[in-house]
Amino acid sequence: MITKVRDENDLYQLPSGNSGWFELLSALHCGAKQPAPGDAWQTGSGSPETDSQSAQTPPEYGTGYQGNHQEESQQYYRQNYQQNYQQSYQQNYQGDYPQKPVSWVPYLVLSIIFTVGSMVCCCPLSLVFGGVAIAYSAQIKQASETGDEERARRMAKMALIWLIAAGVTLVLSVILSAILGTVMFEEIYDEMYYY
Amino acid sequence: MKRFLLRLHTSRGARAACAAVAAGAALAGAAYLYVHDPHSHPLPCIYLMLTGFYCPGCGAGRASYALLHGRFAEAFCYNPLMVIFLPLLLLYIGARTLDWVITGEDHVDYKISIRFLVAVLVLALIYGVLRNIPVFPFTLLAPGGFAQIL
Repeated sequence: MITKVRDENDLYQLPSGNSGWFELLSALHCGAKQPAPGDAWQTGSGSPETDSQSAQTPPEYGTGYQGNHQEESQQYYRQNYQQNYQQSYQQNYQGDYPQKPVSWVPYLVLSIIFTVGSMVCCCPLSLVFGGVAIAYSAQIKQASETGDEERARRMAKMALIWLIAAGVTLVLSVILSAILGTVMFEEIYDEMYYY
Repeated sequence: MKRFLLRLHTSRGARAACAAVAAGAALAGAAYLYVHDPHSHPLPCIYLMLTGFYCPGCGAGRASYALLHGRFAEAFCYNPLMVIFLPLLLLYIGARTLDWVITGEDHVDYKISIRFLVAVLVLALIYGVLRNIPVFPFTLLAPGGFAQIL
């Protein structure tokens, strides 16, 4: 559990923005800078150990209480840790952490290049997807100019999805075309138009 | 997947390996085009099959085959737009990949004029329309059209 939390924090460190295709993928995390792993730990609620130290002392029990003291104490710590962790998460990930604005330039550049590439590779489906990505990229710019960062991030996410769709269909169509040109439909070659 | 992305971000070697794989795939595609003669085994164009009209890419397979065999004039005849813009595309891909491998970031896209890209997009669309007009001089833009005068 602890390792998982650590890993999540580490992975959230992937820089957002638009540098390289992996960072485009990282825009799926809303395209904003995420908190460093230390931030969550410094609040004193990122780990069970620190939580148990910073939590309130469990109530002292009177004499004669020895039945399931250990079990109740663990339950108390567990509840306290869960409550503190939720508060910390809301503060760090949904609170007032400054978020980096989304840049529309790489989205638009890649959208146009994919669209032109779709034309050259004779792939109508990819052409349509590239056109949709261009539309979303233009909306990123519009939302950024009006200061609506939330909408800009949503549009960036959609543009990324359509860009991936365009790229995948483009590659698949090229492979399909190569296969068709190599092994299939040899009988109808004379009648088939080609590029 | 996330770990792979993190690895790409932190390790230059991982980025270089990723770029090498992509370059290998591109070279394999080029090797296929080099040995695959589209004159005898044509690569089908879905758009042309469905509509009967040339798309902006019609002739690109034969043009690529001619380019890989060093016949630039023949390549230009098959698809002049592709032959003109292919060096720019290769330059972009090379610069973007090199920048990404070395720095892990993107500095290239911000140096490209959006107006230029939009102009290329509009030009490709107009080119796709004009090359279907069966009247000279537009017939020059059809695949193999420039062979009439070159």
